[in-house]
Amino acid sequence: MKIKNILNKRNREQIQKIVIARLNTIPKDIEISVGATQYTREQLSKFVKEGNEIGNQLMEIQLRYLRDLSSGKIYQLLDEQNNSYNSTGR
Amino acid sequence: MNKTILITRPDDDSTLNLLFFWTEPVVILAKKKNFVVLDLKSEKSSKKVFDSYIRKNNPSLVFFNGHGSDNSIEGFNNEILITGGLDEFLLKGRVVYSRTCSSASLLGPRCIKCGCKAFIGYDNPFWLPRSKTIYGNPLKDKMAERFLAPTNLIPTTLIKGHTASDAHNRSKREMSKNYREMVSSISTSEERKLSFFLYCNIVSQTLIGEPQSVL
Repeated sequence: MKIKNILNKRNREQIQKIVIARLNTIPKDIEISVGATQYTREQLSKFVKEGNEIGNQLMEIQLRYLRDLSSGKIYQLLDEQNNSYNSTGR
Repeated sequence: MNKTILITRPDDDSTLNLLFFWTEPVVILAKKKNFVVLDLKSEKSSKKVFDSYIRKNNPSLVFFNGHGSDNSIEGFNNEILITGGLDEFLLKGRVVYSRTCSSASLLGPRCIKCGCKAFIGYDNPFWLPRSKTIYGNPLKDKMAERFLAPTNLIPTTLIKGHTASDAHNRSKREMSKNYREMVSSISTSEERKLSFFLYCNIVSQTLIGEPQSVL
């Protein structure tokens, strides 16, 4: 589900702030490649503010990540990965 | 079994250059295991060469490195190699690993409908953090290694005779291991801050088609 469809304006602004704060913790000497382009943390923060395609994708995945963290789903998923391989007998 | 694999690895931007170098260990292993490796390096990753090689040599594994979208995979200079609804039939009867953004979302299922045995790819963007300070040494980029070394396990596991499911799970397991290390107390602050992007790749990696497919 697309982020613009699930958040009202107020929630969206709050999530934007969280995502931008998290992006600002990325070290300055790191670039993030997605597609053919490398982006700095400042550029990614700008995209989130503007709400362009990459910005919205970042909001969606950050929101999912934070939800998975808070619900514990992330650890369940990581355990599943571990078990799914071990169950093949290797 | 046709012991032939086809690899596309354009290198016309810095992200592709990184994938180019990280594909080399796969090429070395495949040759060691006596596979015929059709290595479409750089400008050889063109539509014309790709079509010609795939028709003439009937590879059992096609390993794409490049840019992608929901419905296409690109080669050198952003030339489209495969488009869903147009020529995905070229992948019929093969196992495919698409190390590109998003191609598992629409193109992957279309390939399976057309008879592709198994398609492993990403249904969202493939995120790849990298250090600005070591552009000249792609294999020395430790952060890129966290993200790319586990993905190499997909083709190498297949080459060793295991199933698509084994390859997919082994890769995800290694990514999960890296994620756990990146959020642990032994990691660097940089790793902790970038772990989120690895998590995105873990949940985005998808296997479509017959899990028990082998080369």
